[in-house]
Amino acid sequence: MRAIVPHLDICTGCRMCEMACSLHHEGLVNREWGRIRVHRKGIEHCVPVVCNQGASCDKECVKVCPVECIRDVNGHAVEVVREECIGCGECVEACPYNAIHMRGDVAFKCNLCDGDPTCIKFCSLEAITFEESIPEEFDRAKDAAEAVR
Amino acid sequence: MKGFAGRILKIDLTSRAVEKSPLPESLVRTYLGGTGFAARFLYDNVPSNADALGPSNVLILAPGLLNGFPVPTGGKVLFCAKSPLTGTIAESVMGARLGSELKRAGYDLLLVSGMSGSPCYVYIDDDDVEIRDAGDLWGKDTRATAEDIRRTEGDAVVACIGIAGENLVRYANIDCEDRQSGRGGLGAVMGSKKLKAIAVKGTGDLVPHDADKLMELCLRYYGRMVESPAFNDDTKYGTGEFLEWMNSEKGTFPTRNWREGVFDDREKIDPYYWAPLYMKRNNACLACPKPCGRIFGIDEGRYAGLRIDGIEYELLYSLGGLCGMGDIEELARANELCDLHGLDGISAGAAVAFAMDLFQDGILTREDAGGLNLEFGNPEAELKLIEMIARREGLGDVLAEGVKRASERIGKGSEDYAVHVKGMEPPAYDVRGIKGMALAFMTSSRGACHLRSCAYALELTGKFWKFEGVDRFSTEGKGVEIKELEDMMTVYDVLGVCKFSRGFFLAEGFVDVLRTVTGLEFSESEILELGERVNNLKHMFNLREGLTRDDFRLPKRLLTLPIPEGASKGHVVTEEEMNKMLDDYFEARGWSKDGLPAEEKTRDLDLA
Repeated sequence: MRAIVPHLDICTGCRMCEMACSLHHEGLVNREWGRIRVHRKGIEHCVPVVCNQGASCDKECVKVCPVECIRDVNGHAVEVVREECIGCGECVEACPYNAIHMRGDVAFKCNLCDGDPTCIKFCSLEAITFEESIPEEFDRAKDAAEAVR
Repeated sequence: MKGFAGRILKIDLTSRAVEKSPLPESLVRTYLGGTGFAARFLYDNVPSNADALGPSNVLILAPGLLNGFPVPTGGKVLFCAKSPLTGTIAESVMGARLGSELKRAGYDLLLVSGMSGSPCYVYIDDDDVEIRDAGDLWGKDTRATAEDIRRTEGDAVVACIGIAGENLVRYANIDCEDRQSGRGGLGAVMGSKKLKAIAVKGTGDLVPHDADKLMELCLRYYGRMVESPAFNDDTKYGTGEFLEWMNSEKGTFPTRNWREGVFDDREKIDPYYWAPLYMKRNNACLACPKPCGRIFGIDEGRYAGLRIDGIEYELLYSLGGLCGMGDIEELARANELCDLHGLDGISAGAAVAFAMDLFQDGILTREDAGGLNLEFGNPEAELKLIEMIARREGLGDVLAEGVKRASERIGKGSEDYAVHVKGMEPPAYDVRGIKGMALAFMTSSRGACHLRSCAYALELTGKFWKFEGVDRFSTEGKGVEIKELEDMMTVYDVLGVCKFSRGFFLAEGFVDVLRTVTGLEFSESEILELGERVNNLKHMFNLREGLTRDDFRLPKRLLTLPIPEGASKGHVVTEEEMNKMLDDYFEARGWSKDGLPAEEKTRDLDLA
């Protein structure tokens, strides 16, 4: 399964992915609406954090959702069906990658833009790539995600 | 108003009053944002002849209009105030996410006036604005300050000063996440207000006029930048990429305090040599697809663990060639000291080079320098002197005043060694061999500067925008050229777009960008007129501060000492050439021979 793979040594911290993500999904710009988010770790690293679509987790979000509104709708990605979400926040707590977020009364996460992720188009140095899973990179991303939770 | 936050935040540190007011709609169309708003509010809020280091100076933080939107390279934000170094307007643009964060907190502009009785920092979290105690932060370096504040305030974006700002070094800068609002002493303005830092958290939405069109536009410009021929070299070697070209091919790399235009140790500081050895990763400004910034790291030896964002072209000059110093690790350490203490690396290096030059000719002695051997190329002396400047110790206290004031203090003919325009130490372009750039140094509203006009690119390649066949050794047509370039480049600072993208946008591109983000319709000529308006307003601020034609002069060294070797050998700017170019420029601007704007000009620009 293809997923968005972060490469921690490359990310430049330009945050184009964050901005383009919220513009694509919400028609406005705000990292609080970003499905992908970049965290700056001092001068050493910038860490892009985004859902790996189960490539490197057990889809904990799907398991904990009490109304089963997190599911694969069209064969591309696991997504939150916004109309059905009750805003309980269980999925946010459960995600080991810190890749599901709440704003107002809804949860939201990356849905790979229906198979053609916008963020990838704005990453000139390929700090995020859309490809078959690379477990080692996900492991590093997980540690990084924990650190920024 | 789409694209704008819609409010202005004013904080007075004396009364501790916080005021949020609507952004006046009348200013939107005429000034748009960034340097436009900054110039207008500086002119309207700082009384004439205010002490730059007193309570009536106003520190302005002005995001570029496009900050926060994914318009490629649209992440530039600036600080502005009256300069303690030049007495003119000071403004300095940096690539940091401070501007976008301020806009998302709900403000298009922040004005800080007054003076706190004790060290403080300003904390902005959307509507929540507080002045907090910074007693524990005073005396800390920039990195430690930001880390401490982020430990308390979470994921805030922090702009702060180091000890140089606290000690009112006249070219102290403001740091934000290892980027700097570097020039003109804005850090000293913060220091004078006892303002250690500004921390901003913003969570609001930025809503464009046309989201679909904006996405299309952003993708288009993103693609163009990534596919451009310069992409590879820019991202691999950064701004120092053209060092060899400047040094060897053009002979215009100022060396040993402008005694020479070619640095013989160039290869030791050239990024083609050091980038493969020391570069850890690229470090981008907000929204940049082609980052010239890089993290430079040393893993072994006496500086093991050193990490800086650099080393940028200008500092390869000021801390390297200008001091005759060709050791890249020592240069990195000097760069790190400037960053940690919050010193403008250009002016600091120039001040050290000035002292070394005086030492060489016996005007300064070892005794004057506290025992230091100030020979050109001595890294220990350079590092020690930077430290002394930041702490205002001994000779450092004199050099902390900038080369102009320092030469007045030292006397003994040292004025002839002080290379500056309006008190500002110049950047890395030996303008004796780039005549249009010499004029640009003279006319820049903040003192000697390469970025108000970016004329070096046109002058050295002969071609840019609407200009062709430009001869760098000629003085013909330079008045119109610099005027037009200044007006165009000012628009970049209004919108907050990087001037390394100047070839991608220009007035034509900005028409689309502006419409898409704000819904405002501008023609190309209206955009350029806005740039002209802002430049005239900055000039009017300077005139009100007492600026005269004499303040446009080049320093003696550039008028009398020809470049001795290299591709620009024998070139100098003569008194006649200087005056001719200045006359041409004033005429192109619609100003009198004394630099006073004609009444029609100010009326046409809505400045009357």
